[in-house]
Amino acid sequence: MRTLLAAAVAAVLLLSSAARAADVAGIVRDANGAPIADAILYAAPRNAPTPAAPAASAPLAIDQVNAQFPFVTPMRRGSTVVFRNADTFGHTVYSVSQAKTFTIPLSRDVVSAPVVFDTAGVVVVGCSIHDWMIAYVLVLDTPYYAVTNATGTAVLQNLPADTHDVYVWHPGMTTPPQPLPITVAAGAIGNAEFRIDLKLDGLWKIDRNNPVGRFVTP
Amino acid sequence: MSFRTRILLTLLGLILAVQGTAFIAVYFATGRSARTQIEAELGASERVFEALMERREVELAQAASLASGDFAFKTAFALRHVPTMVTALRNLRSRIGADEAALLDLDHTLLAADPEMAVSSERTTLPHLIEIAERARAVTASGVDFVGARPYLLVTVPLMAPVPMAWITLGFDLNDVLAAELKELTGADVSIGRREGGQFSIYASTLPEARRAELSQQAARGEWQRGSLTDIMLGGEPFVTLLSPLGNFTSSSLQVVLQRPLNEAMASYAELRLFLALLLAAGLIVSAIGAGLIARNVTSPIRRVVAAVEKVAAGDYSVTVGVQRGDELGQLAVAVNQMTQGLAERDRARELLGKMVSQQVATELLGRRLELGGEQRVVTVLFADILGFTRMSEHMPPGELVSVLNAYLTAISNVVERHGGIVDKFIGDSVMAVFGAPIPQPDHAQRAVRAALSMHGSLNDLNRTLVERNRPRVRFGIGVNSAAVVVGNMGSTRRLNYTVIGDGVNIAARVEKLTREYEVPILVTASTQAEAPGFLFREIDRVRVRGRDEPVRLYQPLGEASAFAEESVHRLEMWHDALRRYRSRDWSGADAVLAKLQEGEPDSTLYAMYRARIETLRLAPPGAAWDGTFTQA
Repeated sequence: MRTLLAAAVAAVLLLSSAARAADVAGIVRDANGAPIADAILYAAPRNAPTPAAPAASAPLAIDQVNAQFPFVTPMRRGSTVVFRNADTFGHTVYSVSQAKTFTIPLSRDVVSAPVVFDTAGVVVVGCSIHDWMIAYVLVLDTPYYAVTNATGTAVLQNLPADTHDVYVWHPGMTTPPQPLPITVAAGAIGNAEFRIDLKLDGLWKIDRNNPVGRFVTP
Repeated sequence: MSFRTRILLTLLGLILAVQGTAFIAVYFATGRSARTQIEAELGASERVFEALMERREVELAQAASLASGDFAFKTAFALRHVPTMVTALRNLRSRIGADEAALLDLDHTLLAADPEMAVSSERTTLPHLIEIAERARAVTASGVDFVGARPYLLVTVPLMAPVPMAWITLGFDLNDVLAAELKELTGADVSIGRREGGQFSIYASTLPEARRAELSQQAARGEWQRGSLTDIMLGGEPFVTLLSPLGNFTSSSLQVVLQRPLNEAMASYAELRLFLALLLAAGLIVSAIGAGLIARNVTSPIRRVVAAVEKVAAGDYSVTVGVQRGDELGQLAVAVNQMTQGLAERDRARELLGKMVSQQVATELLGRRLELGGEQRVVTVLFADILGFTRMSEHMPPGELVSVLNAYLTAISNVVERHGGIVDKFIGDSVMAVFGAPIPQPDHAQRAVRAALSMHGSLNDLNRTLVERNRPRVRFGIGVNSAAVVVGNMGSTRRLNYTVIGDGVNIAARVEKLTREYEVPILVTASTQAEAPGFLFREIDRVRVRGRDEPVRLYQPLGEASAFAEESVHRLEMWHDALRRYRSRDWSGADAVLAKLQEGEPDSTLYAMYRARIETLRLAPPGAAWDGTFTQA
């Protein structure tokens, strides 16, 4: 199944100075107009230089609470991640995804050893003793990303004036996201908004009481 | 065919029909039952087979799922190093006893396989299976299909890490080992194969090699449909065969052949059949003995009756049938005994009658109602008389006389009866016989002439007897006449005779007397002579007998015409010449011929008589009315 960017409302963004950046909000809905949460919006400026990642930034944390990962976690390439365990039992965090393969042996450590995600792409993280624990980590080359909330809205903050290829990604997609060009005019100030209609193919859900995978269509 | 055999065969036939029908009915019923049973069993086998295959698929899928969930395998996949993946697959495969294992990417690219060759040579099946799994949104897909040259039970499961990252396909070869396992559970012979290019290739079977070839040949021919049952001969033994498609991929066109030997089901009935056959045989033997006894019980008295009746038919009336029974056979025996008695009485009566009257007359009398009355018929009457018997009897004691006479009369009677005549009566020493009554005989004259000639022999016998007793020889005279007479039962209502009466009878008696005049043994009238061709006759005279105007022409029969020598015939012609001359008044001519004849037969009375007549006639020539007829004084 393909992801459809059926209707993109290209915002004509009203921005004032080149020094200033703009926040652009995107609303992601499905074909029926229902909002889609947990979609990751990200923008790749075509010309503006991508700011370098902060060299010694604090590691990101992915929490394991009640044997559950956060569903989606976008991050900049090169980010360091620690897995924090809030449970009273241990986990074995691993990934066999090509973008990042790692295994954190079974441990009850509250904070795991750091893992550096140095390749862009989707990393599906699991726990080898709890099959239903699934975390989708999207490693991006851009710092401009956001996750949609329950209303399907995500705000891309501080976009420089440029034409951006804006993408939307969701674990339910089985085809690569298609770019939507969004232009932020020089000197524009304030917010702009655009909408993306997204069609999802379905998701693998694993019931913790009966950990056999099912492909669930939305 | 004897009555006894017929009874025996009928009874046996009936018993055979009844028992045989029962046997045949049971035979076919058991045959049908066995077939029904085996068909039901085969149907059950099919269901068991299908259930087994399904369960096996599920089990294998579960095992595969479990194996794919193995974290170590996931990390091996994570390494994306082909040799590592191959060895990991081998490990996985051997854990669950699969024959083939392959790992495919989510985009259906083959990542690794073990053993490598089989899978890599057939790249189409495995993605196909994955597509099915994908389409079904299921975590597993399974089915029977070919990988390379072999059919496999294939199971595809996703490698969940934690969502599907790749597809693992495991293959289980459908081989003889599997077939043997299935046979153990289904109880049927299991073969797996498919039609390809006009033949049926068998990939796995519980059958021995030779039978596989047979099955292959026959399955290639047969147009089988799912669920249809066919009989197939394998190794000369009939197998009820069920053919059904195998697996969920029709593209594989694999079929499973389930077979059960028909004889297996028949075996349970074989004992029953054998028992029935023995029962039939025993029944037949007992019946045969019983029927034999019955037949003997019935036919033995009948045979005794038959033997008795045969004896009676042969004239032995002394027999009595000794069957003491209260049933119909007993009644038959009593009836036969009574009949024999009756026959004996009748025979005695007939014999008695035969002594009194001729045998033929007796038969005639016994054969029809005895009543007065007669009919006119042309017959020949014969009188035979011993000349000079009275004179001879004067010098003979009465006992000897009767004995000689009886011997003579018996001989004469025998001659008469031998020639088909009847002795009408004995008048002292003379015999009156009739030919042509009571049974009409067209050749009565010939018979009479032949009988008369034959009586010569009897006379010779009589003379021999007389000579032995020192008695003078005798001669006899025989007179024969054929005429229309009245024949029938004559007399009173209380006593009657079967006889003939009429002028013809008198003439015969007269003619017999005339033999003394001419001194010839036999004289027949012209009417007899005319009716008896084939004999040589000598005309003796034309006589007007006393009291009758009509002259009688007399002939002496000499014998069968063929038996005479030329010389005798010549002399006979001379005599007839003399007779002709005499009648035409050629006295001297006649006399000359007679004289010539007399030279040959000087003792002949006849020639002398005629010469004497000629002498007289010469002296007193007759009137114009004389026609040569001699008028008896």
